Amino acid sequence: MKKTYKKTPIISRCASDLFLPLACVFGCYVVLHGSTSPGGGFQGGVLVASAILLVFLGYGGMGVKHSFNEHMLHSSETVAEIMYVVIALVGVFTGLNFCVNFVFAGQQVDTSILMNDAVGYHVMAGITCLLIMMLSVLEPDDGPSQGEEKEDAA
Amino acid sequence: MYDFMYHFPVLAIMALFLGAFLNSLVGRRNAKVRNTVVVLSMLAALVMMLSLVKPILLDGNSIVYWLSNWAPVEGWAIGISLEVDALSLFFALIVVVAVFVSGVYSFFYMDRDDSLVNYYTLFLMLSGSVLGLVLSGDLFNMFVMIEIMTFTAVALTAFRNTYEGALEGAFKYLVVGSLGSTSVLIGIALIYSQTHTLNLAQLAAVLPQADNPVTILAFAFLFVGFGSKAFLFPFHPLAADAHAVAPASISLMISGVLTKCGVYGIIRLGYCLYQNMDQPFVQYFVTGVGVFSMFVCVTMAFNQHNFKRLLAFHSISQVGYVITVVGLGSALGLSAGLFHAMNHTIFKGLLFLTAGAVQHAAGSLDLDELGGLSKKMPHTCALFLIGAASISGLPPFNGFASKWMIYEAAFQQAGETGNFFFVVVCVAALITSVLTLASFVKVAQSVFFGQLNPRFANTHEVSLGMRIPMWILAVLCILPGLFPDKVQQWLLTPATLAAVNAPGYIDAAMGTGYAAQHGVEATLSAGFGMSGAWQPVMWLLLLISVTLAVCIVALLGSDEKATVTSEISSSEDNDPKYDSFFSGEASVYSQVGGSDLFWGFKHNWRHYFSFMHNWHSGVVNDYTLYGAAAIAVALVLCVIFL
Amino acid sequence: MIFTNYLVCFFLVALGIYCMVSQKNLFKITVGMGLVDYGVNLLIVSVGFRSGGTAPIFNISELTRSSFFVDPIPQALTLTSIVIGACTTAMTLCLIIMLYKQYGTLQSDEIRRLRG
Repeated sequence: MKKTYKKTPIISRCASDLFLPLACVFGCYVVLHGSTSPGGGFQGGVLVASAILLVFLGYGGMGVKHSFNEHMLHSSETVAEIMYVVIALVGVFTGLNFCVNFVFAGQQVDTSILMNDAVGYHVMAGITCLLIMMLSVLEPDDGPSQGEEKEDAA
Repeated sequence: MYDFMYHFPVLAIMALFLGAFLNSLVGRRNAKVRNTVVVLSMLAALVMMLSLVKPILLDGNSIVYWLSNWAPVEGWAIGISLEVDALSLFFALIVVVAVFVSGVYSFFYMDRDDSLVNYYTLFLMLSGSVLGLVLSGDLFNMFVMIEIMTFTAVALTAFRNTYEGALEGAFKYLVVGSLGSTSVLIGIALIYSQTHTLNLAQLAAVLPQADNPVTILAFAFLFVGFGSKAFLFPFHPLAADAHAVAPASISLMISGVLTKCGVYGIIRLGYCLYQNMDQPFVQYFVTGVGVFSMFVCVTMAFNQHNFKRLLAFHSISQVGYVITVVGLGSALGLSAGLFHAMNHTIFKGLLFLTAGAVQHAAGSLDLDELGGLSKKMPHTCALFLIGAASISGLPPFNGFASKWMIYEAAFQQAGETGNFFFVVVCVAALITSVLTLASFVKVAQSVFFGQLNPRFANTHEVSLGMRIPMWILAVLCILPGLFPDKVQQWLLTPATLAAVNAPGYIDAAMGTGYAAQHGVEATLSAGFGMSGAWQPVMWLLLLISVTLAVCIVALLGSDEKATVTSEISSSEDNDPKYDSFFSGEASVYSQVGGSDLFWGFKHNWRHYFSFMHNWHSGVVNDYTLYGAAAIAVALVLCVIFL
Repeated sequence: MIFTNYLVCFFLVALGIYCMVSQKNLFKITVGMGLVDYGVNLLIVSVGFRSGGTAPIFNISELTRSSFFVDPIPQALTLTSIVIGACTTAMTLCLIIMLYKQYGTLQSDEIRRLRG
């Protein structure tokens, strides 16, 4: 394993190790506090996803490839989308309205927190996928991976 | 109104989106699961929309659905709403039927492509966004849906990314389409700055009163934005590029469904939001854009050598018809426009699907290369002829019924106002129809009749699964043509009444009396009379008898006129290029190609055609320039005259 | 101050459209699209600006009739519009990569197989 990472200097590897958890935690914080503070699912998700750039800087394209499973990311993206729709639909099936606040009714915390988390999860997975695709283009020894680019619209 | 039906609009949209997401989750490995999910979600949307026909179109109710129960407070719409009146449902029905046919067709049409799960995901998202656009009651939601629609349409255009020019067409569509979307967004920002609301019903109440330069600018921006989504005049090269390279099922979606969104937006904008379709300037402007689109595109279609590119130009030409009569501002014109919009989806869808069948079976779309396929593909040929007769406006097909209404509406407008402009409109519509027929004679000759190219000797008829959707559309072509009065009674009259009844639309959402409080009156519904002077079967009999009479005269007459005299080649212009084309021996393959059939016409108009050929340069910068110029011209005209 | 905003956003949109019209390089066209997006976003945010207003973040208990804050709806619209702009850019870049592989050029006047 050590051989693959030999190209990247130790400073960037150490910095990446140091800042990676920080970036992830800060992103998660923004996602979870989305309903009461500026930011929200999208911004937090992007913050978490941008951590992949730290992995790339520290460990190179091979490191990214080892640490992420693209297929799993795709699946979790769709799971998050389905989660969002299902949370919204629960309102309809409980006899109320679409997107209605059905948990903790009357309080400040409501369904929008759950939806926010779903959005954050989705954006995290989606942007990570996107970044992996872009990084795989940067790698010269990588074969052309066409066909998957169309997923961005989703 | 049944209680559970109240949820149907949002459930129909969500069925399509949920189908897209489930499909990309579970459909990656198993094709059967994938197809089941796709069919189920399309069927769910279709059934829900059809079940709304009775309460909304026939009984005249409308559904207002406040998401998350955020109903208006003190006359301010604070929530996001879906508002379904007869006009929305009319377009939603067009959408779901087209989506269903296109989806079923693509199961068999796309069988040689890979990564189909992406195709169906994007396809269902496109369908869901279009349905969301026509059912939405919120201006910004309409913008978001337009954007989703554009992205998915671009991705689907580039789906066969190894196909010649697919990426190029998608890139142009994305760049110039983003200009149109930006235009919509600027319009929304300007409207919000003046009215502080984005709800369509509330805007319809306050916008006609807020008559200041900013809202007029917003009108121009929104009109150009929606017009770009309908691919009207300066944006039409995009449609041609995108159609020619997209899979045929997506061509159906782009021409039959996406352009309808632009038409729906323009109708909502003119009749409901601003209610300024009775002003002469707006009538001239909208009608002028429509006439330009229909005439320029039909002449452009003469030059084409690609089957689907030719159909694309005709598609925009027919949308030009719709916009022309919508701009007349009369109830008859609007109902003719709605009828033609519906028929355009049907017959243009049929033609694109036959083009797809030819592509699937023969592997080529080149009009100069194909020929004589009627012996190999008799069903496809018959279906194509139905579609071609329909688009050219021959009785008893649906195109005749709606085009007759269009002529009638233009004629009525000319008679009522005594304005020469509307006479020109009427004549232009007639000429365009004739040119359409000529152009389809060319296609029929160069694809289905004439001599068979030996290269295509092994072509077979396409499978039953591809023919069934085409037959469905063919039946839908014939039925409205035979019973136009029923269509008018069940679909057109409710939709037209809903479109011109802005106070009803406002009151349904904001509570009774809101419109009267803001002084909104239904000005356009005055003098609403449906005309019924057209009888397709009678006209068919007349056509047959006239044709017979001409044939008899031609047969009985002297032989002098029957011989072809080549006048052009004997004149001073001795270019051998324009010599007679019937040369060569019988044994050699000598198909009369598509470009040769109207060589006399093309020769006489060669300056116009060469100018138009250079004008459609294919460079994305030029198309962007045309779009920006369209925005600028619309702004200047609206500021000066409105 | 708010007048400057409108001037700048007009300037950005005009610059973006000029960039899209005049530049032949596909990447520069993408930059032009981005500029148009930013100009429009600035326009929307400026529309919701109220001089002296605070950020529109309140708990329900803090929110009274007298609280004075900038209009939150344009900010939500801007966020949506930014996301859409990012998607547009990503999509365009993907298409450019694939176009370059197929055509071997980034000049827009050499990518014109569909014309006429």
